[in-house]
Amino acid sequence: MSTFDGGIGSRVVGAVGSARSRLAALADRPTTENNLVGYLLVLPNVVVFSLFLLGPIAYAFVLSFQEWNLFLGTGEPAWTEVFGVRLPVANYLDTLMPLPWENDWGSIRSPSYNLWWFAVRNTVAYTAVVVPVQIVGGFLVALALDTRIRGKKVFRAAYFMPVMLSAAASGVIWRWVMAKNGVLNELLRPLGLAYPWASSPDTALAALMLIGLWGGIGFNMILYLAGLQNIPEELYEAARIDGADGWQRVRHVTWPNLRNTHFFVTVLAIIGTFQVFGIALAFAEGGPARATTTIVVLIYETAFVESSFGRAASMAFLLFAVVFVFSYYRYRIQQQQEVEY
Amino acid sequence: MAETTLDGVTKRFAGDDGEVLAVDDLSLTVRDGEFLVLVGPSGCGKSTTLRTIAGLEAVSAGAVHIGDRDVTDVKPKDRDIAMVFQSYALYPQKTVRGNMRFGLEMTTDLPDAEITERVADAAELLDITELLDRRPAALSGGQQQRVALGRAIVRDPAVFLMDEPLSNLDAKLRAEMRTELQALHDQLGATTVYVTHDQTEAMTMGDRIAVLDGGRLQQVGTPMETYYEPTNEFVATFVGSPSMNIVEGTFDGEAIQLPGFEFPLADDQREAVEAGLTGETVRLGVRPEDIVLTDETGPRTVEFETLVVEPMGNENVLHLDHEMGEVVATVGGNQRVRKGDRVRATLGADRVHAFDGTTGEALFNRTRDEQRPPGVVGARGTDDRAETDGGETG
Amino acid sequence: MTRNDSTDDGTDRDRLTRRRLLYSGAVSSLVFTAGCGGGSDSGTDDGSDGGGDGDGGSDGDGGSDGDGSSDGDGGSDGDGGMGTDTDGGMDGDATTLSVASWGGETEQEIVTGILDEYDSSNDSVRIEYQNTPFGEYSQTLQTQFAGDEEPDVFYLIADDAPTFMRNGALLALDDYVRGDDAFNLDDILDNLLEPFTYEGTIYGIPKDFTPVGLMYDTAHLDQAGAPDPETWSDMRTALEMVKSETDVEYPMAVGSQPRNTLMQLVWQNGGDVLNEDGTEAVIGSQEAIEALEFLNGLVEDDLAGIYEQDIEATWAAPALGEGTTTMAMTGAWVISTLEGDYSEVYDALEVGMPVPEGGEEATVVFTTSWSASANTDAPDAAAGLVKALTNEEGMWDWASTGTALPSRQSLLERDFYDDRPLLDGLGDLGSVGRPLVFGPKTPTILDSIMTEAEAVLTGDKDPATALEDAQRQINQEL
Repeated sequence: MSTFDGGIGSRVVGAVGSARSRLAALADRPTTENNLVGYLLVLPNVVVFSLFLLGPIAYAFVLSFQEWNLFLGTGEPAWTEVFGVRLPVANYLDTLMPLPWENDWGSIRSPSYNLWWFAVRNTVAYTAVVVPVQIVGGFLVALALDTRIRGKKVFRAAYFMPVMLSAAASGVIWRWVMAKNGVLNELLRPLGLAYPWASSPDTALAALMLIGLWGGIGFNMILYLAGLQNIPEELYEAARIDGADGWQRVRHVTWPNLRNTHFFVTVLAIIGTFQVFGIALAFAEGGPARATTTIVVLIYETAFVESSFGRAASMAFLLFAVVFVFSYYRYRIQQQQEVEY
Repeated sequence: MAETTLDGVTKRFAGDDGEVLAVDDLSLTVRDGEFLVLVGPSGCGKSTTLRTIAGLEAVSAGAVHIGDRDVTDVKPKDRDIAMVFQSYALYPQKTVRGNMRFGLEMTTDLPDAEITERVADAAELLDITELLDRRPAALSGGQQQRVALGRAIVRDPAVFLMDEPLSNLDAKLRAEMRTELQALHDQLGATTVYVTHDQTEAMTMGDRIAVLDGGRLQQVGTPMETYYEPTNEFVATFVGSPSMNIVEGTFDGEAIQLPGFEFPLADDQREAVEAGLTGETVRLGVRPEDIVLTDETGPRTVEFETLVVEPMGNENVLHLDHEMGEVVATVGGNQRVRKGDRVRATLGADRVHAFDGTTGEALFNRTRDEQRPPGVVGARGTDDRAETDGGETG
Repeated sequence: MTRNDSTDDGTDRDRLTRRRLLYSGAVSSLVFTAGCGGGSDSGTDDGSDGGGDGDGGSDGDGGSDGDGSSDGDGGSDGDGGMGTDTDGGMDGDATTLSVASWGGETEQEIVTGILDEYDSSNDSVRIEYQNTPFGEYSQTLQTQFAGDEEPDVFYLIADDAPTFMRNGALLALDDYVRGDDAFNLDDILDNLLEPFTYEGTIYGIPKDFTPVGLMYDTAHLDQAGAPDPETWSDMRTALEMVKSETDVEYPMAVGSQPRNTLMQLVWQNGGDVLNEDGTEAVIGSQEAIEALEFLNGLVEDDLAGIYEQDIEATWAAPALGEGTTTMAMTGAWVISTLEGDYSEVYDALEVGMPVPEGGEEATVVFTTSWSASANTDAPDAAAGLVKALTNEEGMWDWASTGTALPSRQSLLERDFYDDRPLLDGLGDLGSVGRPLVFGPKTPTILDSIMTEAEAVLTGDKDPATALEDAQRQINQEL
């Protein structure tokens, strides 16, 4: 039988063989056999994945160390000296240098020094505002809609609607709404509060955050609504008997029992906001005066407007590193918590 | 510690097809320090009744008193109660200590040291001191059960409410916890209302049992009372395992005519039937252990064919066939009856119950004769156990 | 760095091709890695000049701003499928040339008409035509080059030319056009040929051009009793008078990134982007700062409004045509829309270019060439086609639509322009026009300047700081 070890053939042999040898066969090598079948089953997926995702990603990684010449269709290593060592990391250095503190944080304050750091600033600011508000907002809306209120289905649909809208569409809609002569200002003008929200560099990023929130709260709401269904009613009753009033029950029962939802929502929100692109591009094309140039918008412009593919690839991998570190540590923390229980 | 009274409590829920009556005009007094078991099949309203005491459900009509207080409209936290849930309902993010402290922190302004001490005492009582810093997910079912109890105990409430607290445990652990809960109750002497669907649990744990069906209270009494003196056919068949056999017949003024068998009545039995019967049909009840195999023949002996024998070890459960229907009898575990055997059995004259065929009310019950078994050589302290068993008419 | 793939042997070619295949995958993976995937595209009409002056097009075809002018870009891009098989059975030895351009219906018709004619009169050449919307054109062309799929003959915007020329992507045309009397290279305006010349070699023949002029509505000026804007101060006075005397809220229109407006002001005032030899940025000079200060002053005083923000219109034609504004810096591409849709205003419009007192005459000129790929299989046929498209006859076919100006002096002098004052006026500016071309870093350089200008016009950045910042950034790039 050993000749057939690990092959599908052994199945057939085993099936026609005696019950005893079949048992022996199963005991001998179930793992190899099952693995092979398993590999065959995932093969199409692996092939497609490698061809269209993994391969290009790997190639982009190579690209990030090259000076790509669009016309020759060839890249040459982007050599540079780092502490006297010759390394092909010019794209990375060009992206990162000067470091923010080297010009007295000028690149954080203004897009005129180093666009990468300015885009990082924009993205971090966007994330820092959007993620917590989106999460808390989604949670509160879910909480409100989880009760017995009239027309809650209508509200749910209303909050979820933006999620179904493409980023481009919502970006354009908000661009109109917040335009200097848009609907928003028509409403604010009588109050003397009209302002070119979308077209002033001072407010464009805040306006973008608002769009992000508008789109994100509904999505998080759905996740939280699902999470809320999983909290046993008895916990609330126990808390009522223990003397917790409405908000204390939210604090001591609802919020901590949504641990898994929080994790999921946070990771998705952070990854999502770090990669905000569609709405930023459609809303203001990264402007005005770079105010809404986020990291991915910058990558896009570097690659497809400036045609600096190597440089853009290096930016993409810097972003990837940030998002990866984030996801990984959040994952580790989650793992540790799991062990604790 | 306090007496708890339900007075005409009614609870209606809005259902899909109009209102559902979950508890129907239920009045019940739980005595101070008593362990009262609410028992009944699922949907009988026992949990709802418990929750009206807890204040988790508002009553539709009626009143709830704990001690001297009318708590009908009082919030759960202010009712001076503690509750143990079927799923334990421990806060997963809090340690055992945190779970036990929480109620005291929320409802009292006890100093921290006092809370700590009470938690430590309760933990020691329940033997969970070494678990205090763990989180619920790291505990076994039995340990979680103890923590849930501990959380109730630290509150030092007037009434303990327990909603099927043992039903999530495996059979062996359940039996252990049963004993332990009784011991704990004896030690704390706290008024306890305990809900279960398991009549064995009810029998073994309750000072008294309240049997519910269809939202109505059927009978309140000691376990022995509900067993030997059921007020109606429902209680008779619900309490005891295997269930009481019921055979339908008619009363002809002298005896009860059953299919293929005439059961003669004693004088007092006949008088009871004459006094109570509303229609013609009488339903005769006899517990499996009261169907006694015998060699002799007599007016109350019947011959059966054995359909099935279920050996339980300590006894064999016989499913017997007769024209009157299938009846269940039990014989000693060492008495071998085979499937297909023809057996003769006698239904003891004073061992049968009779129920009104129309209303289900008991017409007469079997006589109760209690003896102290040999080997009882004395009692410890006040003989309260015997007193309880001695029975009170509910 | 001359590219000579065509002479390479097959093996090498295969290798390159494979690599390019991977390359195009890598491009998409960039997007994936960054995880954007958000279906937004750069949009044909709201590209990087974000609400610019409705131009950005290098020639008269409507610019990048989604104008929807009658001949505009972004129009239908059906490729007409012309000329594919006109010579039927000649396939065997016929050379196939692929030709690419952008352009709406009018432009496409004319281009394909010329191509058809060339096709049918040259038995040995067959032509395949592809049309790409303007907004995607530059990117598509570069990607085609990267994938070895580029057309043989194509439109090339002046801004892109330096990059293409330096990389040896274009066919040198000198041997074909120099010394061909019939073609008459000298007739082509020098300042238009210059962007397509690299190290003395010609790589493209400008097919047309348009200078940017200040178009102004004389009806508004007359109503306000304002002077014609001959100098900067006249212009400011005129704007002030129109604002106070008429109900025009913003008498001038400008883009938030003023690609059509800022650079000529800088040049007129004696400033420039780079120094003479292109090695250093000088956009932070006092002259340039004054120019931006002048423009910003108009915006700050609400004499000039910004497209899409202050003024609903997104480009000059509707802004002028609907009378919401009095003047705008714009090019020939607005003329057909104005003439067709706003004839009343069209009749009242005049074109000029104010200069500061003591300043020099200058303006921006946009131009596009016909060029050929260095990699073409049939360089002779390709160069022949470029010549056919840009000789007197071919160029006039297109220029006579009045959408852009011909880049030949002889054509500019035709009577055709006598009763077309706007075109004629623009034509007069041709000689002082300078292309917005600053070497291979042109897109980045312009982007830096325009972003800084946007920060000044829409935000509260100080013009001096902005242009000094731009200068520093450009120097970094250089």
